[in-house]
Amino acid sequence: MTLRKRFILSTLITMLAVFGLMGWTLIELRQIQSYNEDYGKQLVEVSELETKLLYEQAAWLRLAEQPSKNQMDQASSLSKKNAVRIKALKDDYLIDDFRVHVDRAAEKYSLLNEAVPSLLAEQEPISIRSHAARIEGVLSDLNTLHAKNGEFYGALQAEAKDKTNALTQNTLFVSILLLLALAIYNWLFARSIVRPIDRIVRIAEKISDGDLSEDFEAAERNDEIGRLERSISRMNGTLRDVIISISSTSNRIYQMSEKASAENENVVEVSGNMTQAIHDMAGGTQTVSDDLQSAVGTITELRNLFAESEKRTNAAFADGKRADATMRDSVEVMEQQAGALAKAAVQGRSLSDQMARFLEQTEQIERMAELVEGVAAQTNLLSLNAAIEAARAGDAGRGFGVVASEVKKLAEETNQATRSIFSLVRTIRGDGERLQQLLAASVDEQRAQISNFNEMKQSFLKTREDVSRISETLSYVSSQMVRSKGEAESVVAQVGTVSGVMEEIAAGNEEVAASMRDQQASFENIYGLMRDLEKTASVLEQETNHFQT
Amino acid sequence: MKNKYRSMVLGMTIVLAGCTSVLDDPASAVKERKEIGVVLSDVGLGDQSFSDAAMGGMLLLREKDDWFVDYRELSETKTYEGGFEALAKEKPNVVVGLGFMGQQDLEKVAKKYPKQQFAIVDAVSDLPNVLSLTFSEDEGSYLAGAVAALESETKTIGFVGGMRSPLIEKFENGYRAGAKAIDPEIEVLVDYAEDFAAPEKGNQLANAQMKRKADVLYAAAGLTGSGVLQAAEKKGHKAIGVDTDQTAIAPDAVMTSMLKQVDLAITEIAHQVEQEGLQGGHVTLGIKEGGIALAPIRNAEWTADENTRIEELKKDLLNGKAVIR
Repeated sequence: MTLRKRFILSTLITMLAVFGLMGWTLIELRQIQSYNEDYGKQLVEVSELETKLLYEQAAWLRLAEQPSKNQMDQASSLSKKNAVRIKALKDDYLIDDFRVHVDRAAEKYSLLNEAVPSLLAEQEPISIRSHAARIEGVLSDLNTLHAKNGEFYGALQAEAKDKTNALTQNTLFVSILLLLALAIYNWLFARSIVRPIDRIVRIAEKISDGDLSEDFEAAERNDEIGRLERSISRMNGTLRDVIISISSTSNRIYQMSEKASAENENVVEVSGNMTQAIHDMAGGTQTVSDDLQSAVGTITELRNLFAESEKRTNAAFADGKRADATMRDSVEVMEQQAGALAKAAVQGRSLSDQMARFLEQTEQIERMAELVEGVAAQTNLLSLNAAIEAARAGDAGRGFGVVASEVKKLAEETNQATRSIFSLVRTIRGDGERLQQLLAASVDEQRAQISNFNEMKQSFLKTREDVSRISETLSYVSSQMVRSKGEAESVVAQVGTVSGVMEEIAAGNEEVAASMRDQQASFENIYGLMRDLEKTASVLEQETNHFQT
Repeated sequence: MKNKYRSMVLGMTIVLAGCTSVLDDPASAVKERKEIGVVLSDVGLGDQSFSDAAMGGMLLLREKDDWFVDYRELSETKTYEGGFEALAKEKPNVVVGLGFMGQQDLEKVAKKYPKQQFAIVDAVSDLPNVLSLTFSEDEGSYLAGAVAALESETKTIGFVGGMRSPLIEKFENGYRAGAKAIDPEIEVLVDYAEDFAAPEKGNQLANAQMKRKADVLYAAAGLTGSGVLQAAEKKGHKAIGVDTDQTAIAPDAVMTSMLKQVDLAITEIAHQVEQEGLQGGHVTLGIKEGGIALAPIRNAEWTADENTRIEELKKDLLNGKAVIR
């Protein structure tokens, strides 16, 4: 049942009870009144008859004193009229218990009246006096009747008075009872509204403070309060789920960006190492080239100094081996770096995906907030209606009016909370989008880097093959030097070629080193972005931590 | 909540239903009042004597003490017994009989209703539930005799009794003693009509006594007495009435009446019964109690001396100096 229906029902029942009581009272009073009228009328009739009989008695006595035509007429007329009156009283008398007196009076009077014609004819004063005295007998019966009727009437009036008093008291008593019951009912009614609303206000305050941890059960009610509680409960749950999801996502982002940042630092370091190594290598290669140059000079002298030549060839061979080893190291470092880059790229992509999902969730939050805003608007409307109803109910609704204003406050607070959520979500979303862009740029950079690495690796491998081949050639030269002097010429030529290649390599290496430096700068840039992301994620996490889930 | 209202309405109904009505039982509404029932004697109301006096007493009781009064007449019940029986059935506080003529019937009914209080005026009964009330008629008759003696010029006065009986003889004796107290030589003529309801007979006897020079006549003979009084009036002589003030019967002749205050007897009975409950016994009402008196003197040149003389005799009666044989 809705609050309005309950309110109307309680008022209706009270009104019905009061009207019923009043109706009852009126019926009772009406009945008493009609009894009073009937018996009172009869009493008056008896009393009148007594008076008329007294007149008649007096008329007879006057006739006894002074016989005259006039007196005769009067006496006879009165006796005739009284005979009719007594008969009428006898026929209409209501109270059976007292009827015997009427009957006797009537019988006596009719006996007396039989003597009237002879009395009038004889005009005997003694007889007339006796007749007057006999009328006293009728009067006595009537008097007894009068007394009894009067006492009965008195009792009736006393009863009417008692009844009226009792009815007044009852009405008062029942009215007080009803008012009391109504007051208790209204109190219970107001409490049944105020209590849940207090609870809702408390929860709403918690929500607006960002505490979503309370998992409250909506009461089993079918009225507006029940609906409000259920919608608040649902909002609380949904909001909490969303916040938890945001929180965990931002936490994950934070951890990931932290990890990515560490990885990047590593990459930068490795990249530095690699630059150094390449630089070293370039230096080594130059040395080899220089050595080869000098070897060429020496080889000219080799014709003469094979032994020395052999020694030098061996040294060159050893140098080649060293270059090979250095190059192998370089490739390893490069492979390491490439692996790290690939990993960073994968992480970057996953980060980007997370980010996209996170953005979707912020949209969900916005929808949620819109829902809450809708609920708040409804609540506000409801509170307005409630305030109008309370005003209409007057004093009885004052409690409910307070409740209505509480509900209005709640709606406003909810609206505020929703607005703060909106702005928060917008900030988060802007940060996320920016982050996503940075990530995309970083991933692209990394991809370019990786292809650079691959190219470099190929070039290194080729160089290594060349160096290896030189080493073999040197070894072969060393063994053949002894055998053929003429072959020394070709060696010199080959060494010259090798020296050119070596110079080329050295130049390539310098190029690689420069590219590595560029890469390092790019990595440092990524690192900075990562730090930003980390910071944003941390802010986001702090924001979501604001909600106690 | 609904149940609460329901029980409230139920409670209300019970409270209202609790106001039981007296309307169904009118008799119960009439508060307990004392009631006296009197069986009037002889001709009943209009006798201008005993019955009318009794009615006067009943009216006094009714007016002053709020008693219910009821009565029966012989014309109604045919026998005294019927009247007593009818009143006894109504269970009044007391059923009263007037005159010795109803005594037998009253005692018969009194035996039948031993718990009912009865009373008899002018006769004495031995039954435990019958209160007897008599008058000192001799005292009143003594004063009447004195008045007659003082008024008589012929030194001859007359007495007419209704029926020779101890009661009426008390009248005669008192009358004679009173007359002798004034004038020991005075002659008192005495006749009995042997009928209480024969004015003609009274007329004859009165005329006979007046022929024998009686000039003041005293009648103790009920309705018969009214014939005596009217006869005296016709002859221009004086008469003394009995029981009630009988001036109206013969306005020019009746100089006084020996008043038997039956109304006082009725109220006396009522008060005694009211105070002491069921009782027998015998109460006599005389000059002292105010049960006997003389009506104011009329139709005579009454002097202060004569008045003083009557007052002296009254004192004699009160202090026992006067002796009635």
